Amino acid sequence: MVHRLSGPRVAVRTAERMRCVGQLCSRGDDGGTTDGKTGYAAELNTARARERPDTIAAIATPPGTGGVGIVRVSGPLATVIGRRLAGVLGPPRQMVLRPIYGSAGQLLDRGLVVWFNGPRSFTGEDVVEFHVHGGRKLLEAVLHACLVAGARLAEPGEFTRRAFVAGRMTLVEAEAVADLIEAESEAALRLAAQQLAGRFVVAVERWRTMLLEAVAGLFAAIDYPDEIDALPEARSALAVYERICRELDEAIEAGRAGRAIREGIQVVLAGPPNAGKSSLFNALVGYPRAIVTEVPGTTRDTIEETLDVDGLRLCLIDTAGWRQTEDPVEAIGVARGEAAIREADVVLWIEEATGQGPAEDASARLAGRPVIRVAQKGDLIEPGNEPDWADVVVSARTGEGLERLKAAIVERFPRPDDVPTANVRHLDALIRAAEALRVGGDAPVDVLAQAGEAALWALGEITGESVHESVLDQVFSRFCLGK
Amino acid sequence: MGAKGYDVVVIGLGHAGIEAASAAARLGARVLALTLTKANIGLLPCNPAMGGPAKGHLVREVDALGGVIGILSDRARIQIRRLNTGKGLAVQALRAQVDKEDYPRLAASFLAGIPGLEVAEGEVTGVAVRDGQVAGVELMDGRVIPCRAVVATTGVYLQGRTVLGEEARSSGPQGLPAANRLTANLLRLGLSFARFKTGTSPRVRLGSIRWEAIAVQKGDEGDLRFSFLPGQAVGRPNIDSYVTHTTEATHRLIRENLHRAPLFSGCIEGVGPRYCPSLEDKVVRFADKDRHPVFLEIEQLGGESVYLGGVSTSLPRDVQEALVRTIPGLERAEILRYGYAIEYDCLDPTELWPWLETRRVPGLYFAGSANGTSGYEEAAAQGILAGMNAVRRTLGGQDPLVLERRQAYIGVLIDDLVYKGTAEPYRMLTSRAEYRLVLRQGNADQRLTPIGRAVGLVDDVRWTHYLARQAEIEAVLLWLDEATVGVGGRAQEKLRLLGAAPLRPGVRASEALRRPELSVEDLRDLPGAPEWSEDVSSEVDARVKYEPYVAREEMRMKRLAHLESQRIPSDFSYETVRGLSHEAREKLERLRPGTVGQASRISGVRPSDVAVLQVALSRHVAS
Repeated sequence: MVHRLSGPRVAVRTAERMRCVGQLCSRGDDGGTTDGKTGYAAELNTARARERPDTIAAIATPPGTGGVGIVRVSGPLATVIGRRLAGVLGPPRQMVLRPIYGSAGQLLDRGLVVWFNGPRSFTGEDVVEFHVHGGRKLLEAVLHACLVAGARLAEPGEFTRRAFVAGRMTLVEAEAVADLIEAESEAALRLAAQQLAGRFVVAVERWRTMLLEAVAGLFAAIDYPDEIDALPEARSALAVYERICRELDEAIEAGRAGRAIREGIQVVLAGPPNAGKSSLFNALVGYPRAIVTEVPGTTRDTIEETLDVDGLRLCLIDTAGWRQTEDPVEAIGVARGEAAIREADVVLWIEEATGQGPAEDASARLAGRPVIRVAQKGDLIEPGNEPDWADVVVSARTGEGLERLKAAIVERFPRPDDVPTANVRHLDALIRAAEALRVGGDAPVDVLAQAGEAALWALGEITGESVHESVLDQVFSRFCLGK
Repeated sequence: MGAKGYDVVVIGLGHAGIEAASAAARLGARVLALTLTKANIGLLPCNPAMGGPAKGHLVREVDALGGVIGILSDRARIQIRRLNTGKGLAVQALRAQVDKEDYPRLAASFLAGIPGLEVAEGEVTGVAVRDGQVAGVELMDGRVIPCRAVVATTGVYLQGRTVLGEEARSSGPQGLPAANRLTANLLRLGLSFARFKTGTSPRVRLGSIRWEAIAVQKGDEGDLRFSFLPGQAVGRPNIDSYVTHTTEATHRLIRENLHRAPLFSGCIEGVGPRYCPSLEDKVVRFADKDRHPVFLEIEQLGGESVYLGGVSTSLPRDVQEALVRTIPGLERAEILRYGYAIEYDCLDPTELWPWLETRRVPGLYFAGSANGTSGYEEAAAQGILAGMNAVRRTLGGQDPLVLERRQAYIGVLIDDLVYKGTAEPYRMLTSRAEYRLVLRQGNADQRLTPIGRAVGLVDDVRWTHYLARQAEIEAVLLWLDEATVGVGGRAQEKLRLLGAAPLRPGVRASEALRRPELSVEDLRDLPGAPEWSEDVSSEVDARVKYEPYVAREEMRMKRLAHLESQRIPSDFSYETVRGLSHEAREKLERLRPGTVGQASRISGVRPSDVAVLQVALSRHVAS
């Protein structure tokens, strides 16, 4: 939200005006080009040891727009993270095309990477930006890799706040930012009010209640050792932690799915050339968006369009036909198509109804992906001769089977009302809560209590409640204590 | 009282006053400590016990700073127990029963031995203020004693009113006189007060108890003491205490007599603590419980009085007599002193700066139950800080000492009081301390003795002991990182007996110590082991075993600590900050927190207010 401000709107100041305030100033001294992988742990440790503010990361472009998205990282670890993901960085302030690797070392994309050395950056700290092809999932994968590499998710307005602290903004700009943050907190309040009625908050409240009870039991046993027996409290706390962990994991998964639903289900049309993908694409969209010819390989790049089905937003992505090609331009299209399949929520594998179905290599590539096999050009076969390999038979020309296909896509997803609402900040809190609760079974009671309290803090960030008083209220309402 | 005048006057010599007076005097101030009667110096009007979880931590911390309460408790103790041994090293705590007669006597003679400290009887009726500063105290007899700082540790004496059944009268605890004039004067100075209530249990005659019906609770063996100074509790006895319980008959009796209970008849208006409820409270609020424990604690060696823990009540005398006799073992018990409730005035602690000086009257400090806390330990913790700061700040013009939440339970206690306030008598609990894994009783010296030394309260003897103990711990830790475990040995044998997996031979001793079954005591037979005292073992265990748990918390703690490190200048104007909620602005303006962390804990300050404040602060710094 506010991050958007941090783009080109904010003019670069002259050196005289670049003020370093307090500890937030970065010396910009780690611009070396150590190998991205080997020295990582050591570098991380030195950077951490400096006790600087932590490094923050966020997607800096609004969701669902544009062909290119930006993930921005700011703080002492920025260049370390930059090299972690992109191998090496170019000279400061210069964009370089680099492969970008994910948290597990897998290639995510080739994108533009640029770093600004603090204090000559927007935030006054070292800043690294990854400009990648704008799919939501890809951006999230890059962000995830940054978080795994040591950044934490930026809070709303945090980049701007750091920028101002570093003296990178004028008073007028700062006033504007204050207004924005004000507006933003109001928006957040409105959002919170809306979500209060939602099932997600109901779920969070339930976890909090269970945790409060468990933690209160542990603290009662600690603070009143002569009156409350610790063993049953510890046992039931462990059971509660385990259960909540499981539910949190489900909620984290569902939260991701829920976001997919709200932000659009990525439906990728793939298949061999000339199978009729683009005509099906146009038929689904309802107007001729893709160019359709008889010539195999007409679609050379991915084409996107959105479509509403029963309140679900489908993001249809047409891809180039899947084949070996000598044409370098077409080859790039094919590669993009492969990437799209990896990111897809649903893959429509389309072949002619008269054909034999997915060839062996295609099946291998689709293994593990959520696939619906579609027999196109269904008007070319006699009724009753539907091929066995197909899940759905359609004809883009007659419109036959299109509704069945849409139904087959949406029935794979829960209704929007059924899914917990979780934004990225909520997810971050849920993940921290789940991590906190994963203590070993042999942890002492004080550590167990601490773990539950940490989870409560994380969940409290969602509901905005303080922990201490709630725990105490629980302790004294549940147990009869005292002299 | 001498004619040469005083620097500091301490009002009251309970557990807060003792620490305040001795700290101020030992820092070089000329101190006059005024008490209503010398009979109440160091009085233990509730049960004569010190410590327990969180409270024991406070005692250790006060001791580590160079305070008195740990030494007095050790010297007066008649039973000592180590609590929470099975619940983790961070929350292990000592709890002692002390001799109800010895403790006050030791306290009085200790105070008498401090040069520069004079103790006198007298009732303070007002604080004299000149040019907006404390100028002296006014006494009942009309005298004005000039001084530059006042530490008010008035406990539960301000307009004290005790209630026992239908009888209510103006009184302090145990029939001692109340102080009825001072509140009005302080109200005129603009301070605001609340009315709290607490209570105590009946005492029964030792000889009237049927002991065979009662379970025994033994003290624990070993060199157990509060004070980091060795040798304090040597030769002290370790007597038994006892546990019995209420019965259905007790509860029936209480229900039948609720209309005579002052708590329910509207006779008591003060707010009582939830964690220390009266028995009638328990019976009403926990109607489904068919019994409540009753702890029998002998109050004095060779004495007759036995305290009935768990039976705090203000029911009429005849009901108390009847209800005590429904308790197994107390069928023929004779009551020596009836339980009663006491109401008193206490300062709204948000009137205080975190160094315990009132915001309205520079030079006037408050500490102890007068600030809305309960407990001897809580009182002592505030007392030492208030006495110290009266000298540092008001006399010396130095920065006051404020302990942070991550430094000490004392820091948590005072931070909670002055920024959150309290709606009931405040008791220290481990659940209040978010940094509890690092605030152990075993490392209180490491956390606070260097601070006490810098301030001037830690003398050479204590400092030498401190350095030696730290060196010993360091030596053991170093050795643990080098030594390795073999195939045999005490540790392997212990694991075998427990049926646990053996250690891999060659594993480092520090790693072996991470096993929950093992203590560093089990590694004493490894080659090259240095000598170490028993006292050091649990601290070494804690440092090694808790390291990974503390590391797990580091990210969360860093986020918290970051807020604490963001300072708010004392001249910062909240008026001009756009976007603060009305409530937040009003509270911030009044409480003037020193850091963003403190601001974030004020009730009514929302996360969005904190964000707005952070931006405004950055602007303030930049301009």
